[in-house]
Amino acid sequence: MNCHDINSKVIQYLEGTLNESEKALSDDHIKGCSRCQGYLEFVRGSLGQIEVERQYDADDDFTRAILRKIDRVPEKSLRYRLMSVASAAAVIFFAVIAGNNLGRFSATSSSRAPGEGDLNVFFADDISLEPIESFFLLDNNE
Amino acid sequence: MGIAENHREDDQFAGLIRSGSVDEFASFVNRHRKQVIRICRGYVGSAEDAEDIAQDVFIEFYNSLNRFRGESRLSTWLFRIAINKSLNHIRDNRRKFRVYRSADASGEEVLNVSRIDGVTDSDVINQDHSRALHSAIDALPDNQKTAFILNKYEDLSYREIAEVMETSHSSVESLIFRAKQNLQKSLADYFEKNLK
Repeated sequence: MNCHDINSKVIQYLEGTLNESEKALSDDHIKGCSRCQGYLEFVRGSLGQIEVERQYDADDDFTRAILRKIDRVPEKSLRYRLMSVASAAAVIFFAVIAGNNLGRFSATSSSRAPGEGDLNVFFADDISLEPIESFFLLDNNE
Repeated sequence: MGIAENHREDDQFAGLIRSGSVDEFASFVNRHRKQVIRICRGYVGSAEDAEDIAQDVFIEFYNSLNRFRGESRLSTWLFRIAINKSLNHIRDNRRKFRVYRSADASGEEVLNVSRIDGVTDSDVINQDHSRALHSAIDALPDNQKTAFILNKYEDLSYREIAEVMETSHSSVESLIFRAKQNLQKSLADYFEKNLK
């Protein structure tokens, strides 16, 4: 057993989970090695901190602080949610209104402008008045 | 108390908190705060930081209670929130620390610990132990860290850790074994560099 072996078994040594022969060999080495004695104390102290930290508890102000925060948080979030829903509804409402008006405007503007719409109506009227054969015949002649 | 009874109690309790019972929630916080602070402290080391994170844990727990379906125990669910919050805190702080270090013109990365009046030698030794312990825990991969903290700080059995971490009993065994191996290496390094 040497210092390196102690390094790699120190937690098992302190937890008491080494088998008897390993424990005896470790004890022998540690007895004669000041470095490993110091190291063992260091690891014992470091792992012992866990027990010190486990005992810690906050005071009652901890719970009061949480209650103060949740008292505000849901209120805020409820207000925020209501505002969000109202804003979304307003946006949709204005979008529908704007879309409607835009549709009406483009419909009006296209009927005013000379274009495809008029041409279609013209040819459609022709088709409805004439038999289809004479309609195409007339086109070819032209 | 059996698992089924625990679940029934959790469901009733969750229902009471959802219905707005602040008293029930306060008693829940009082019952579990020590456990939650312990878990957070395992990750971050400082008691103040652990308390801050623990407060956020309870607030998130309260706000997300509507999502609780009773598939696990309420405490398991609370512990998962504590683990996630602590890991996020560590990640955020690491990022800040990196920014701070890159801004250091001297290029020195020495941690200076100033001596405060009234601090005894035994306080300094405890600080050393605490610093060594937490730097060793911090160096562990997240899943080894979580298994080790739940086992040592929270005293949970391997079966309970497996439930919280949603993994198998044998995986937890292996994670804790590897965590101890890694801790030994880190502590030995710390000892050689700082205290020998």
